[in-house]
Parts: sequence; C-alpha cells; structure tokens
Amino acid sequence: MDRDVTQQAEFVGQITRHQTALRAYIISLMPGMDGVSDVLQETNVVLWEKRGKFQPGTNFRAWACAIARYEVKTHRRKMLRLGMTLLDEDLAEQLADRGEETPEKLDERLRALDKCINRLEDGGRQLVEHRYHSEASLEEFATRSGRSTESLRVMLFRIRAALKKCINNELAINSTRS
Amino acid sequence: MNRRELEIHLQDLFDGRLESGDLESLQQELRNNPEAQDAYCDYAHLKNSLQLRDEGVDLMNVVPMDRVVERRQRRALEYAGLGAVAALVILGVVLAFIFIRKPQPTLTLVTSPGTELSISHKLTGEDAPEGLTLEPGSRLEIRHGTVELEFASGVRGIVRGPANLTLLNEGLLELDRGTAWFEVPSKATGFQVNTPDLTLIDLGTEFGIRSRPDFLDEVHVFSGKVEVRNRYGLKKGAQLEAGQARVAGPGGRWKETPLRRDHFLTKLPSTEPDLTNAALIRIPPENVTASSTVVGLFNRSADHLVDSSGLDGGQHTNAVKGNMWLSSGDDYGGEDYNPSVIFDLGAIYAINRFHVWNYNENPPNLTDRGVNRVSVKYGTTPGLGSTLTGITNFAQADGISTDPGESFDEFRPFKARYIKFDIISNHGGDNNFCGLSEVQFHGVLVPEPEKR
Repeated sequence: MDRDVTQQAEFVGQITRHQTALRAYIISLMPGMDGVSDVLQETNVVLWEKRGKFQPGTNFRAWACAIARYEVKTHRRKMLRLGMTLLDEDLAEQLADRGEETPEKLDERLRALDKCINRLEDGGRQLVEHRYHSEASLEEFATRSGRSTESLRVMLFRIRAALKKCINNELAINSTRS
Repeated sequence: MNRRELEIHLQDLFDGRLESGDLESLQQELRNNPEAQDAYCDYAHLKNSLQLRDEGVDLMNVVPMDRVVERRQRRALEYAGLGAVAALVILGVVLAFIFIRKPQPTLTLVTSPGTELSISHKLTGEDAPEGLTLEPGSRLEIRHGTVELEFASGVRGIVRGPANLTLLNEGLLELDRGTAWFEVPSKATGFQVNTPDLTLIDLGTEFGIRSRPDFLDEVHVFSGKVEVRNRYGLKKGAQLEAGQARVAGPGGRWKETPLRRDHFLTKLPSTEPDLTNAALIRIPPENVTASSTVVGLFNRSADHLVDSSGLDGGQHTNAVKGNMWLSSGDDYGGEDYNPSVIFDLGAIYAINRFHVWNYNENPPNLTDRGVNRVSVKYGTTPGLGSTLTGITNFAQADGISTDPGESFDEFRPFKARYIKFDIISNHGGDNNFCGLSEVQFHGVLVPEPEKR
C-alpha cells in the first residue's frame, strides 16, 4: 500500500507540474473559446481516473495532451451545436503541437512576462490587469477611465503586440546566456 | 495578409471576436506561413501567461482533486473492499496538502441589521463560494448599511455603504467606492487597498480610506504606517504615519487634511435607527421629478406634491389649480403611458410611514384620474434597486374639500434617499391622465459618516 500511495503522489506531482503546459495546449486547441478552465478540469479528472494505465517512465506530457485533445473535441462539439464558428480542428491541433513547450520553458515565459509588464506605463498595466484579472469588458473599463472603448481596444492591441515582442526578446536573451 | 493584419486577426481570434470572413483568410495564412504559425503560438502562450499571472495560485483550484477523491471513495465503497477505501483515504490526506483549497474562506462578511448587499463571484458552479463569503474575484456591493470584513489573513475591516469592492486576492482589495476602516495584524503586513485614485500598502497598522464618486479619495492613518501612491498625474508616493491624513490631489500630489477618526466605524452598529422620533421629511419641490406634467395654464406641476399646497391640518382641498400634479396622459404635453414620480429626500432616511393624498379634482369630479395601481421603489442611490412589498394601490380620493388622504405604515421600515412611484394605472379616468395631490414621508435621518 505504501508503494501505491507513493506512486499516486508521484502521479499527482506530474499533473501539477504540467498544469501550465496543459492549459497553454488547451488554449491553442480552442482559441477564443470560453471554457478553457472547464476543459482543463475535465482533463485532470480523466487523467486521474486513467492513472492506472499510465506507464511510469513514458512521456506524461504526450499522454496528457492526448487526453486534453479528446476533451477539447467534446467541448468543440458543444460549441458547434451553439452555432459558433471555430478554427479548423486539424489546423488547431497542428498549431497546438507546434507550440508545445516544456513546463520549465513556460515558467521562463511567465518570468519574462512579469518583466515586460513592469516596463509598461501605468495606464497600460492597469488596462492589462483589468482585462485579464477581472475579465470585465472593455466597455466597463472605458466608463471608469473616461476613454472610448475603441481607443482602449487599439491600446490593448498595441500592448499585447509589444508584450509578445518583449517576451520573445527576453527568451532570446536567456537562451544566449545559458 | 500583411504582418499587422495577421496580428490583429490573431488577437481577435484569441479574444473570440474574429469575424467568420476573416477567420477563413487567417486559416489560409496559418496553413501556409510558418511565421504566422509562430505568431499564433506566441499569442496562445501570451494569453495563457496573462491569465495565469492574474489567477496565480487559483490555478490549483481548477483541479478538482478533492471531488475526484470523493468520487473515487464513493465508487470504492460500492465496488471494492474496505482495504481499497483505506488506501484512498490515505491518498486523500496526501492530496489535501497538495491540492485542496483551505476550508476557511478568504474573506467572511458579517452585516449590521438592515444592510442591503449583493455578492457576485468569479468562480461558478460547485466552486462558487457559499453564503456571506468572498473568494478572489468576488465582488461585493453594499447598497446601504455596514459590513464587517474578516480576512483569513487576520485583517479586519468595516465598510460603510454605499460601497463597491472586489477581492482580488487575500492581500489585495479594490475599493471602487465606500468608507472603510482596516486593522491589519503584523502577520498580514503588506495588505493592499486600491481605490480609483490611490494605492495603499499597509506597513502594519490601522487606517481608514474613503472613496466617493464626487470627491478625491482620502487616507487616514490611526496607528503604524502606510505607503500610498497616487494613481494619476505625478503619481506621487508617500509614507504616512499615525495621526496623518491625506487627500489624493488631482495633480497626483498629496494634500494634507485633518485626521477624522469619526468618519470611520471600527465595529458594526448593533441596532436599526431609532424610529421613535420619526418626523415629516421636508422635500424641496426641486427634488421631485415627474415623468411628465400636463401643459397649458392648468398649473398642475409636480412641485405641488411636496409644497403643502391645498393642505390644511392634514386635509387636502378639492380645488385643483395650483394644488395637484397631473401627468400629460395621451397627448397633453407628449404621450406618457408610463407615468412616474421620483422623490429625492436629499439624504438617506429610515422611513416608517408615508401619506398619500390622491388626485382630488372636484367639481367636475375627476378623481378617477388619481393613481390606482402603483409600485413603490426605493434605494439609497438613483438606481433605486428595491421595491416596497405589500403596497400595490392608492385609494381613489373622495372629492371632498377635506380629503384625509391615505396613510401607509404597515411595512418594515426601509432606508432610502430616492423613492419612486411607478404608476401602472389610474382609477379609470380619461386620457390616461394620472395625478396626485400631496405626498409626505416620515422617518429619521440615517447618520452618514460624512455628515457627522
């Protein structure tokens, strides 16, 4: 029994370690769709229930991504029934595979993002925090900040483009150091 | 597709707002252009990172391992032997350290009697907090009354409504509006409050903070120290010590202001306002707004509803001119099929009685123009928000020259500054006219910290 518990705890550790990567993978598979957290949650449940089938020493990430892919398919079917227009499924899978990164690389991305956000002007930082923390609409922020929604949309576009560029620069600098 | 178009389409795609026509051309680009594919991956990672950065440790809460374990335990009980259950119970204990959210809510609320509030949560479904508790992302609106905040970290606060606040995480509160006092134990030093005008970081202290829509935000430090930063203009920072109070000036500088402990409550008021001294609330005529008034020389403006015109010793005359209000009805100054009257009491009162003298024009007897079905709405802000239950009709006036009117006092006293009569019908009168003669509210002023 001790060995079982140890193995199960190790399995839990694997799920934990790959949460960020799994989440990124799911976002890639279903861009712009609501329900990323739900799909991740379902993926975790299935991973746990199928843990007996996982062979220690094999590629956990590949196995978890395969399950996530299946859960996204289920979610896509629901969205299609609701009449949503979605990115082509094969293309999304191809892009998600292309963007797959290790948990370590994703941690590096988070650190780079932190640096890059700190370089933003206060107004930009507040807009990003509003958009991603509260998940409230731009209209709400526009009312609060006294700016038009369209100008905020343009501002958000520029900020995200700048953050993407800044993160890639940071990652490039890190890779030359290592 | 040029680079800019590509980036716009990708961002719109991840925002869920890409038009189907643009989606087709973006797909084409993504199939053929490796640079576009890389940009797609970058934006996917950016979205993930931005969401994770703000959700932080909440990431663990989306992993419902506690529920998984429970489900497994139930199955084990159904299909397996006791040994298997024991193994899972042990595992459950292991997982508890890793996954399961602390049973203690991040923030618990206690309210004073008569407080009206609403809570909305970011977490939904089974993850949604229950009862008077807040978790990161939860938003609290206090329409009126007072609420005590008890943080799991040990921070204690008293917030007076009207107030709006959002719990961003255990150590960060966004106070959009309200008057709040906080006591922060040393173990929770670093507790932060953001208002529209300022950011405050506690350095182990007791402080008050006021944020009101039409005034600049204020900080009052009663003990210890706080660090404050103006969010606009020059964005000046300052460290304030016990006995100091500052206003976040419009240019981003700090202005001195007298320390006012009396602006803040440090414990919940235990009782409702004492209504034994309830009295007539004088409402200036300019504080009455009617949806319409009949035009011409009839002199039936809404001013007459509160100016005591035609009222003598609690009895109202039946002489209409200069003494009553009448809506414009079908077309006597525009169509008004949804007549209403709003009374602004000028301050928040606890109201335990009101008296209505209905439309009393006679002769000719036109009392059937008086209000019949009505909905009485109230609130401490112009948005109202509450409806007085149990009052649905005003009786038709007698048409006599000494109309006693109708008194309403069989309701639970309510707090309001704004009261609206939403008029649904008259008593069968002509031209959809609706009228009233006089309205009086009785109550006591609810002490507001700002007015002490």
